[in-house]
Amino acid sequence: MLTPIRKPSIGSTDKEMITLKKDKKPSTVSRLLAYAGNYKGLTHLGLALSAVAMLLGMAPYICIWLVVRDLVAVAPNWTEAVGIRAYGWMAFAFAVDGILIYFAALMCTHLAAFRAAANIRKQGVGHLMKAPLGFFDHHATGLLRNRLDGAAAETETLMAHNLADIVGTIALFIGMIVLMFVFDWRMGAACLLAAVISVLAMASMMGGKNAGLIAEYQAAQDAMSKTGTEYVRGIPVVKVFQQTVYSFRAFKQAIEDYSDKAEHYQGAVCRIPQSINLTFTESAFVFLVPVALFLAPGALASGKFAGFITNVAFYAVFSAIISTALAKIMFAASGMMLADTALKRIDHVMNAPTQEVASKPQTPKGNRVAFKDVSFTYQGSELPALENVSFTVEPGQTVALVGPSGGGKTTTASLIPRFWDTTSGTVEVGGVDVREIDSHVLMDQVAFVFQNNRLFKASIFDNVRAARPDATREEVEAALSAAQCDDIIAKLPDGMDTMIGTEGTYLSGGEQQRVALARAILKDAPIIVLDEATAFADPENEQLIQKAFAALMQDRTVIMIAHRLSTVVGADKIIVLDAGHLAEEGTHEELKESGGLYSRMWADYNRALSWRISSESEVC
Amino acid sequence: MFGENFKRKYALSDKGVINTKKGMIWTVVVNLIVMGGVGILYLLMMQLMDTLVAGSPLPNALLFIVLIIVFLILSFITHLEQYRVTYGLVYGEVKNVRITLAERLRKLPLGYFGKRDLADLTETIMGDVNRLEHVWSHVLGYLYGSYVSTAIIAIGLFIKDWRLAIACLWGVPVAFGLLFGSRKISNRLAEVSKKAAVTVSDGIQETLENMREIRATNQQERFLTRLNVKIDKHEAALRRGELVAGLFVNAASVIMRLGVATTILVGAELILSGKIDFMLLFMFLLVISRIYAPFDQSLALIAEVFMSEVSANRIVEIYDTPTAEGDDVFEPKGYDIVFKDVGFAYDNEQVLKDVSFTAKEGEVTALVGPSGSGKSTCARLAARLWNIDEGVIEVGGVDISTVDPEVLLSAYSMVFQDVVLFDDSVMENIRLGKHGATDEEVLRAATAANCDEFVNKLPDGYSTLIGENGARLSGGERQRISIARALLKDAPIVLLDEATASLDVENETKVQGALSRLLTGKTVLVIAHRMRTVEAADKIIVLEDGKVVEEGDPAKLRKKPNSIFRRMTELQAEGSGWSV
Repeated sequence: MLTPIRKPSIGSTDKEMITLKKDKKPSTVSRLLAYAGNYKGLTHLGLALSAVAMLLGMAPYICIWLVVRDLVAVAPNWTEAVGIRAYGWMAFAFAVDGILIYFAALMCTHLAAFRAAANIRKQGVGHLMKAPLGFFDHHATGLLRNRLDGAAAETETLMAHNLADIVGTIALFIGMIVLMFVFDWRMGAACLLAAVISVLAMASMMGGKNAGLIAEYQAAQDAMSKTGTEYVRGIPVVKVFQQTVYSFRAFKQAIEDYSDKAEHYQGAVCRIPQSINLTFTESAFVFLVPVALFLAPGALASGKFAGFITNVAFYAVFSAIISTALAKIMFAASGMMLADTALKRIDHVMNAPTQEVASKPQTPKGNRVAFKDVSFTYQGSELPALENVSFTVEPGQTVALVGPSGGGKTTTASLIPRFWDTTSGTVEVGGVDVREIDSHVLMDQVAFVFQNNRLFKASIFDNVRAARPDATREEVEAALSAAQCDDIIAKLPDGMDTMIGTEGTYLSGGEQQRVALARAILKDAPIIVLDEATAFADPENEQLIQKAFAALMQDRTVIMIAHRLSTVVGADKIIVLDAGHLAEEGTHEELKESGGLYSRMWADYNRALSWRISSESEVC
Repeated sequence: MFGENFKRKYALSDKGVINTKKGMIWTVVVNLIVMGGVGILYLLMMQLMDTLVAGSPLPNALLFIVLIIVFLILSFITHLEQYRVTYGLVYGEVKNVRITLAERLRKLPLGYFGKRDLADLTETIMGDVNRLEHVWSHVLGYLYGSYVSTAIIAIGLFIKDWRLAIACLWGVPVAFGLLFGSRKISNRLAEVSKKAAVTVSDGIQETLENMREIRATNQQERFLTRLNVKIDKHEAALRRGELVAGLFVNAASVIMRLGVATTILVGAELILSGKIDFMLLFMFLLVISRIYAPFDQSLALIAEVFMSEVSANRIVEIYDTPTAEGDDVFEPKGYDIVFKDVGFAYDNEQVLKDVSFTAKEGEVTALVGPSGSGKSTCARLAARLWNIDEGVIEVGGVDISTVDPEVLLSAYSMVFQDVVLFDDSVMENIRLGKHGATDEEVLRAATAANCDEFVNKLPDGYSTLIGENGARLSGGERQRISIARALLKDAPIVLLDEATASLDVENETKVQGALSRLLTGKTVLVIAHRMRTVEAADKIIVLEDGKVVEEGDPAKLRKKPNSIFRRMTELQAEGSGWSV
């Protein structure tokens, strides 16, 4: 009877089959086991039980041998073999025991697998809690979550099922070899020969000149995947320019190319070896017949013919197990590959950089912010984003950062609350290097409001109070009011206690920004780092946000990223950043007169201000 | 069995259904031939027994070797054919499905792409088809074929001896009974753990998304503790599910293995009571040890089939989404855009209601209003990115719902906020604006859109590859490419999101010049954010809650007391006067 074995296609998951051979399997397993923590022992126990269960599962076949032996001895007076009843019950008892132990084994491996997956999630998020905040600007949270959560779930299959199967199959093979020697090694070897041919046929698909074909085929798959992504993403644009036919043609070409290569490799090249493989796995007995016939005359002559027949009968039945075992190994191998790729994805998360914790934390004295010869280069980038930037913000001052996009404004501001740590030089708050300040203390000292503020899935009240958990209701109310949120509270069904994110309580970007500002106001930190952008807010919101800004900035030390020059006219100091360098520094009046970059920007700005969209062409 | 439901369940084409049938038939043939091989074993044993019992000569070795060779050849040939109809043909099917999906996607209304996550769509066309490829090739034919061949063999066993047949096969109905009987419980438990899994997933997402706020408010420990509780609950739900549901599934898969033992047990009894002989028991043992393997694996494969149904659903959903089609000819008289009583609902929410206005050729019409008022929707409907629910939109007197969207769009240039770029050179990305444009034309448009400034800094100038979705370019740079495309296209209607022109302050002046050139003499519909930039528009349409509330010349609207436009202008003037 044939087994519908999962043929090793070179699909997306099987792609790693080749690379897997180079990897050390134990490392995948032992690393996964480490995640199981104190449940690790359960896995070992489960695997041992699985081996025992598999061996017990073979016991009925030994009973078959015993039954046949007794029957052959009395042939053809079958009813005289009274001993076979006991063997029948033995077979049944072994099978039931095997099943029960197998259950116990699965329970153990499952418990450990669930624990490992849970620990992977916990440790992953715990690790990310320590990553620099800037890390999240460069890594989509959805992707990180998907990697961690999805990969954790994928490891479950390996830990819960595949490992037990692998160990069980190893036990099965050992048992088989033992039985081979116990009964008749020649017939046993005949059965194994078929398995060897199967494995060789499979290996021939991967090796030699086929390796080149596989590489080509995988390249075609990658190419299709890439054009596919671009095609789908591009449809909205391409359609506007009436060119879907052309982009479609490129994708179609890639699909056809992949299908041709797949058809050639999978369909044509693998067809013969796969058919050989299956023919021999499913009929492992084919060599048993000639070997038995070859041995028969000798057995007859030596008078051990009855024992010989018993062995033939045993191997005829037993050879069926080989195909089951091979199939199991194939399933297990693909599970191993999945776990391997899952681990790689988990590593991406676990290898995220973490920030150093100050060994001897110091307390900042005062609120002066100073940049001393600061340089910073983003990971993976060659050019520094900031180079030798030095400036000081005195307590109570409002300092504006201006300059072309890419000049380093946002980077500079991000270094103060330690979104990133400098590559060289120091950022000091209150005379202390920010790296030497306990992160909680630093966060109490510095409040920041950047773009895209987010609110927790909690009530507005809780969202604002998060900034200062001991704040009273009145204080929260006052902060909301100062942040111009009265109209938001008024329109919500439960006022301040309305849960955000529940149905019908959607807040627009501008409204969210105001609530976030209320949070910063309540926090009452002496230093404020602020991005003044109000992009996408409608005029009404924009004006309210600006009022909230004013409330927040009152009597505090402020570092502001400015996008519109009109905003910075009154700043105590303007710092002009260009290509990562501090280009100019001074008040609006000073800089306007200096004839430098700022004065050019100011002129440009005023020109832009006078632009109107109109149907008549105008001279700019 | 192979009706419409089957087809939809696995997202198969008609040809795919035929291939599955073929795969099934050949699986049956292969399985029966293997059983034929088992017959050779039986024959050998019979003759050996004859030698033992009756002293007949040893079996004829030559005959058996010939039989084995014939069997091997037959088995090999049928495997070849089975392989061809499953693997060989599946790639043709996969190719067709991918191409059909791709073709279908480009005919969908453009708005569809704003609604669906593009990563999700790509996953459908690549990942889901991959998953189905596996099921079509590995699973369907084998699974159904194995059912059929097992049934045939079971009938044969019953004819031989019903008592032993029951001893052999009782596990099959019991296993399936267990599987289906426990379905209710296991489904419920699966749902519980699924819910717990979603809670964990959401919890992780929330924690990661709010990382900045969590750190700013020093809540790390609190969030981690909360998340850990969710993870622990999930683990507990999984345990419960495994203890109960897992028990049933595992029981189902192993209970059939008891068949070998019960066959021995019952066989021994029957032999002792003289009802059967050894050879019959031997035959049953040969068959039983081979009949369970496919079932064992079909249980494993069933999981894959279940999972593939989700993939198939997503594919069928795309097949079912109505496409937007229409005439290939679009010959409007002029390019006035006229909205007549337009109503439009999105996800059951009324976005526009009774909207009527005209945007004249050669004029700038500005759509103004608070966020959520429907101004972006209006602009998108004007290009038939969605089909409207009520009323008519005409361009030059032609109802746009009668024109093929892609043909219609040839009359439009759109400069919106989201700019999609391709992993190609800057030159090719701009050339997209006009198929077959010469390098000179492209460069002229690029220069006009002030692209030179940043392109000249790139290593290979206009030939520089810009990475996947233009990863190497900044927001302002992307917009300038978008404007260059629009300049190159030079279509009579321009839809403009004005926010694009004000994002990047340093380049504002330069881009504005290019925009002014683009707009001259066209029908311009602009989504306005800054009141000052639309002061010179020919007409202002003020939208609020999906309705037109004011309309007219900006100067007049500003003079009107209590006008919304006036209020917005004043508010913004106040805002831009704000300074630290």
